Amino acid sequence: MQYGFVIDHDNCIGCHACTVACKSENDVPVGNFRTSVKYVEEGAFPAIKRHFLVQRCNHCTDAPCVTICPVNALEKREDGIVDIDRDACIGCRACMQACPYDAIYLNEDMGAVEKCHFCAHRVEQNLEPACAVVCPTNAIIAGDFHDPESKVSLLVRGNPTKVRRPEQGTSPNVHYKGAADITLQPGRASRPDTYLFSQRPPAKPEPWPSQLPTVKDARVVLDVGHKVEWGWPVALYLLTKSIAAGVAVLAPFATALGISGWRSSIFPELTALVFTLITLVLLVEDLARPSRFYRLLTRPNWNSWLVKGGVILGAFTALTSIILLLRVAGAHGVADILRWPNAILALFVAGYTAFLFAQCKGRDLWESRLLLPHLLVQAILCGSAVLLVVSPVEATVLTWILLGSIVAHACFCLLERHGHHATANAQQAAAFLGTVRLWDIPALWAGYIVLALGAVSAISGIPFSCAIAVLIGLYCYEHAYVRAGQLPPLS
Amino acid sequence: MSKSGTPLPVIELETYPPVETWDDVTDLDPAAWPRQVERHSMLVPTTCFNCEAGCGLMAWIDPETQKIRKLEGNPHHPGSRGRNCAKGPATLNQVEDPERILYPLKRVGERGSGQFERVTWDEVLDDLAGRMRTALLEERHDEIMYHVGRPGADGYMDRVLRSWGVDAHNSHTNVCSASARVGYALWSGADRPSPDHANAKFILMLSAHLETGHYFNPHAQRIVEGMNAGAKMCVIDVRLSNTASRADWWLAPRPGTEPLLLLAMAHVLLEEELYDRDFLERWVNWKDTLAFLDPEAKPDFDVFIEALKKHYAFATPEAAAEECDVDADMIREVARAIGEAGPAFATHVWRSAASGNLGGWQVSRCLQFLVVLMGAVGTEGGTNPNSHNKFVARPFDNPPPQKRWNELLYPPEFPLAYHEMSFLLPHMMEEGRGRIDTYFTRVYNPVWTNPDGLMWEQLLRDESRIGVHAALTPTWSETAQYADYVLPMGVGAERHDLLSQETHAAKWISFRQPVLRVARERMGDPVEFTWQANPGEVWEEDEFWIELSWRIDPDGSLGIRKHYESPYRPGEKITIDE
Amino acid sequence: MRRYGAFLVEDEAYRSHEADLTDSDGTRVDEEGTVLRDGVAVGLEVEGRAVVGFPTPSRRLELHSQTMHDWKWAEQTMPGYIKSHVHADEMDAAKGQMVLVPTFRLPTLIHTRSANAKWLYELSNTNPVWIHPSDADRLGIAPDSLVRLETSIGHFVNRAWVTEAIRPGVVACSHHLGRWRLFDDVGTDRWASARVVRETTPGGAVRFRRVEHIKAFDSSDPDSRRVWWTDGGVHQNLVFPVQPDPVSGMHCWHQVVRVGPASADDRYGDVVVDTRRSMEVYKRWMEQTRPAPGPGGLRRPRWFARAVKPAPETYIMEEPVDGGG
Repeated sequence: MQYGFVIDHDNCIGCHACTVACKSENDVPVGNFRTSVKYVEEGAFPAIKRHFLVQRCNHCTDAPCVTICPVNALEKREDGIVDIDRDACIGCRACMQACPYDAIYLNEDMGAVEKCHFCAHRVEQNLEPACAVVCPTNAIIAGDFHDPESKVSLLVRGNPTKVRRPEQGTSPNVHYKGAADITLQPGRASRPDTYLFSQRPPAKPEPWPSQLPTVKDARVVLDVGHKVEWGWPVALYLLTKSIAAGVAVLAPFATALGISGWRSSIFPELTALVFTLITLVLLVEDLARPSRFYRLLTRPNWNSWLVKGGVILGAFTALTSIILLLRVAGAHGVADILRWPNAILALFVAGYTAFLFAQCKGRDLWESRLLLPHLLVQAILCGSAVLLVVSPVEATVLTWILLGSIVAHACFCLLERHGHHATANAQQAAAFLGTVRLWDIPALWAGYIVLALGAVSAISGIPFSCAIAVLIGLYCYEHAYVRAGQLPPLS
Repeated sequence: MSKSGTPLPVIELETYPPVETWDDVTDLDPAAWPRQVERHSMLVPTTCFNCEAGCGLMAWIDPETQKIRKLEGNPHHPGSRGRNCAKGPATLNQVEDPERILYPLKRVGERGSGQFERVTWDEVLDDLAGRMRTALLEERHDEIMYHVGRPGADGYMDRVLRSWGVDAHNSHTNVCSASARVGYALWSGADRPSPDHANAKFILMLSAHLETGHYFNPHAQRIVEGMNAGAKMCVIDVRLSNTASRADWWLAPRPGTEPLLLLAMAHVLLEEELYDRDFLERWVNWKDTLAFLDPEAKPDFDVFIEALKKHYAFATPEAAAEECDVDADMIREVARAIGEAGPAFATHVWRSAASGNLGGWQVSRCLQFLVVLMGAVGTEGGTNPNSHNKFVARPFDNPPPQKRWNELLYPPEFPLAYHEMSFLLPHMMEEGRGRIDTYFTRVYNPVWTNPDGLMWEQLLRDESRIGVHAALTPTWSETAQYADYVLPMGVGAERHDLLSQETHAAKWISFRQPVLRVARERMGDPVEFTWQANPGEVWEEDEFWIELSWRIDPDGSLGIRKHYESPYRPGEKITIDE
Repeated sequence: MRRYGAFLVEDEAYRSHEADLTDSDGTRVDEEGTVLRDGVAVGLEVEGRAVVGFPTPSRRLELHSQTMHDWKWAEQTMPGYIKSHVHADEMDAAKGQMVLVPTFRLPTLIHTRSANAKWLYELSNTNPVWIHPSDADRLGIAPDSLVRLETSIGHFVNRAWVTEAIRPGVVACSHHLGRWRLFDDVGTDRWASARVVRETTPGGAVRFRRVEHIKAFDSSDPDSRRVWWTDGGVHQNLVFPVQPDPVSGMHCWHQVVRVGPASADDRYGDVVVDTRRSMEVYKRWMEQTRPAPGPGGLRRPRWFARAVKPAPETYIMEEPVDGGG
């Protein structure tokens, strides 16, 4: 079976009955929606039309939210409904990044995510979803697409229909009849600061980047808002993880780099351990329900890179701890040997996020192939900057590694910002990368400048200020990157 | 396909549980989902109160807590057919509103000072009844006024007011639909149209019935049905409504020129002989008209047509194009499409241009002219007079009509007004045309809704001009701030009313009922008054009026009491069910 | 029947004017085919059959209305065109005068009774003034900037919604919104209303000025903490003088307004009214009326509907009216 909807926009009148009936049926908190109606106006007087688009979960055949959920809280049921077990959810909101349709929201009271679940509780009683029942004009038709004789199958067979964002490869099961193209392509129509009869929800205050083209005389005039779910903890996690991984990657080379004594033997692992622990704390604290982090262990979804990443971080923590213990026990030889597998593990620590972000099907910027090498470069950059602090002043090789990393990082930044992106969503995110602000300064530029200061510090032999500058500069970039990825509209 | 290869029947989901199960419907608690926690609900139908369409609602009631879980539609309602607009399910917000007035309040500070205290219904009733009794005894009948914003029922209040012998019914009609009504009434005596959109071939709208207005939900359903069956739609509106956006033609004339635009279409229908000759000859007062147009002419139908063409010779599409700023060719195109539709020509104007303009009554008069020319009166797909499609129930005991004419309601300046000159009340009183002793406002917010609301604010604050003001209201309003009594009344799921509206080419009746009271009755735990089942002490007007009337005339000497005695239990007070 | 909540009395109700005249006692048919009883038309004879026709004095559809003629509107007996009070002739575009259409409604709100419905207010919470880009350019009004709309008795200040979805020369503002309250604890629901103060301006007019936007509040409903909208719109009806149509009595809602950018002292949501001017406008419109009595000394045509119709004798005016009542 595959339950799904046909939304007949030849019939839809934009009345919002579905929006409210859904809120009532499912007790959806104010400010959040499981289904909503977008209005787009296109044309100039008198040749102007107002188009509508009813938006909700697509109950995708290949649902990226199910894949990414670390605790199997999202499930593709046998009848095709994509359902959420709110009791199981830990509130990591990865599904919100994975969904290309902005269909999921966080219920802050529950600390769990919610979305349209096709009124599964009604379907169990053989009742249609509430939105389909209420619709005055029969514009919402619910049924089984696998049944060739069902109303929805007949409608899709007998009429031209479209789906939202087919390029995402999710095989949506909400099919639109009579929907205008302009409503289906996020970012094509401009968005004014206020709407037709509503304020624009203040969730994403960034102005639309001026270089992005929009269709003339086409405006989104009513829509719901979506928050930026991943903020500073995620940006900081990227940084702390890079530090931990970077020093561990460079650790086997410590002596060769001219570092000596405890600085060479203890410091790298100690730093790696401390920053890995900070990383883990950040990850847990960013959960809407931190006390439930253990569910990553008790009900893991092995397809999710959050789980794989957790295992990698766990293994890295364990091996790093063992190396430290061996040092304490005086078994330096074994510890030195173990640095090599730990360095490889550290590369995974640095790089797994690329695979996690690639599972975020709603964030095309993050799906970039550049992300994996870029993350590795960031790790080396952080590792070399931190090690430089404990290095002798004449540690020129390390300085060169650092400077090389800065140049490489800057190249990646320029490529992400100005290079070619295949999808409109990624292009929009890349444009937002240039406009995101941190402490009211353009974050990307702040990153460039502070990193340049870091480079100057390194060349001038002021390693401490170099490290500080590198870390701040990189944080600026992480902030811009994490936020910009989430800024393009998905509807 | 089943294993044996025979096709399985298509199983589609149902919309509502079958009526046999309504006393005890088992469903799954959405709050617990995906845990499958069964719960039981009692389903009680009622009627929406959030506009005048009277769509069906169905309350899902938790029998244990006696709370409404949700309000869906009623599949057995002929007008709404189980479907609703956004305002139907939002009734739940109104029931559960934390800001809601739950108990009768009495003003304690100065009028408009915002200070109220809770009182009992008995205190309210005794005070108001005493005042009214004195007024009636002192022949100050015209100092009692009942001013209704949203009636929500048919006829009940007429009976109450007649029993008091007062001419006291004031309404909101003149800020709403008076002009449209006059234009329609002059044609046929019925003051509203009832278009049969579902069967129409051409729909002409001077309103936005795919999104708003009387009777938006039932009409939207049927307009879309009609369009899916091939009907074309033209919308005349100065701004792009959702309805205009769906139209085949959107005409945006200069505001106020709509009658000429319509006459230009009539001009085309006449000149191109697209009208229904037989219908006109049979049903239109063409002889009187001809005698008026040309007193010398002999009463011949062809002569009449020629006279009519001559009378409307001025209204060419080109002349209209100039005045209305609408393309002349488009006017012709629309007129010819109307001509093609023949009697399957559905039209509607409710507020919009008719309510906006001096002479706006000519908008509906001209629109109905097109309907008459096409012979589309009362036809399939045509435009019925509303009296065809509205059922009015008769009360069991009708007191005789009042022997008074209150000039604050129908002042002599407006002999043709439809209806009371409600919004001029403060201005007329400012001129010294009268005083009000007891003023009831019911679901009425004149300070906010009416033009010149500050005049209302000043009137309502003036104790020398209004003795006592009781605001019967389901919700706080700007007006209630200035009342002496703020009396909480039920929303759609909390009151009794009988309702019928001309939503389409049929007649129906819908019952509005206090669903929690009905639920308790079904569970064998009846209450005496609806407020005992509703949240707090939220009452319903019908019982309030019975109680009030009973107390106005405690000994029956005023002749009021007898109208409130049970037809089955002589001498005892009637109950709402009776 | 109450179990079902509603029932169908009659389906496919068409052509009820063709229904048989069931009570034909004491009737006669005149040469025009009108069925009369005691001189009053009660039906029509159509193809030899007595039918009810329409509830008009002639039982026919009245293209020419003798009623209008008899009640002093002889020039308006036929469907016709009356120039509106907002006709182009009445306006001076050079002074920024435009027509305001203040009546259009939203699919999600209920006149003024939805302030208690959070699900409706989170969808609809502003009523900006629609204005075409060509007008906005001409008047120097930027999108979203504050505009002042002046009527003959006052003005209000709202935001501009510059849009192609309206005809040039017209501005429009939806009703429902702009709810206000004077007090913290009582008055229009906090879901929907801004708190205002009522002040007297130096010129003697009354000004309502917003002192607090809509904001989240504590209540038994956790959703009240989640209120994110702050606006709630602007009340416009306060600044409309009464404009009664002399025939129907309808308040003619369209307004001739002067539209322009707000002045430096204006604040969003300001409503300023001078009721001294209200009475002048009222009297001017009253001069257009053509008062009763009509034929037979009547207050109103007997066949016209009237709410709670009083006894027949009350229709006869006791004395002629001299205008002021």
